[in-house]
Amino acid sequence: MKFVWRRGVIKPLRDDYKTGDVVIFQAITIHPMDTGFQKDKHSGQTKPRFFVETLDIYYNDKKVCDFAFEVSASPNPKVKFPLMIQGPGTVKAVWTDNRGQTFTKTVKINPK
Amino acid sequence: MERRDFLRYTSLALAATMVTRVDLRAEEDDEEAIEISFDEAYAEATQGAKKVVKNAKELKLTIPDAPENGLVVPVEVEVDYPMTKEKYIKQIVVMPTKNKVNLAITANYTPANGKAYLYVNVKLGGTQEVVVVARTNDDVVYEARKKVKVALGGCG
Repeated sequence: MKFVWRRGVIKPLRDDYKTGDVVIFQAITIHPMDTGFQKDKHSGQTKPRFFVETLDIYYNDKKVCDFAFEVSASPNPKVKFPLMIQGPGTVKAVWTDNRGQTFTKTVKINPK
Repeated sequence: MERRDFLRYTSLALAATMVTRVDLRAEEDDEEAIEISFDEAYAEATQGAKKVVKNAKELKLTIPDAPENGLVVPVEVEVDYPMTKEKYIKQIVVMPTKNKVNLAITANYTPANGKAYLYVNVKLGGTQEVVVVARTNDDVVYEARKKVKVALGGCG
């Protein structure tokens, strides 16, 4: 079955932040994260290894942190990480899987 | 259609399918499963460290003692360490110990994160310890582990 990568979200977990606050962000995407060990129930063949390899976080186009996943991470990988609010702008998340596909989501930051 | 033409076309078509078959095969081999032993993952996580602090008080792990399903086990880490330009946590690694692949995530942080915290969902194939390693920018490694009881494994 062909996988079309089209769902994912990055968002701060609270809205009432000011410049200088440390806010927890959540990044989640819909992806099967196949380990390569499992067999398909219908065909009996081994499912190829297919997983999200990296997630890079950019704040106003400057790289802030990155995550390297392995197949032991759960399907639909979710991470929560802190980020210091430095001012208005955008936070961008870029996921890349082992077939070279990428998926990007952004969120606008408007400190109060 | 003449017999000669027919043979020519069918042989061409056959050759073409064979070539695509070979290509598909090559792609599948590239996606074969790779096992990572815990020793291998741990050696990489602590490589070049000046000091390894075991059972570090700086790390606060929040993992359920007995999760219902091993497919999605939430692992939460909070590191009690400053996050300034001079002193910060640069890496957090989460490793199961008895999975086939004993590495779940490697997180690389910078002082712009403001805090050292990580939440991630991990697959666990059975009852085992989960090891979390945090590395500071001057290569001191803090390590903490917790035993997690899993009744229903999540590794197929």
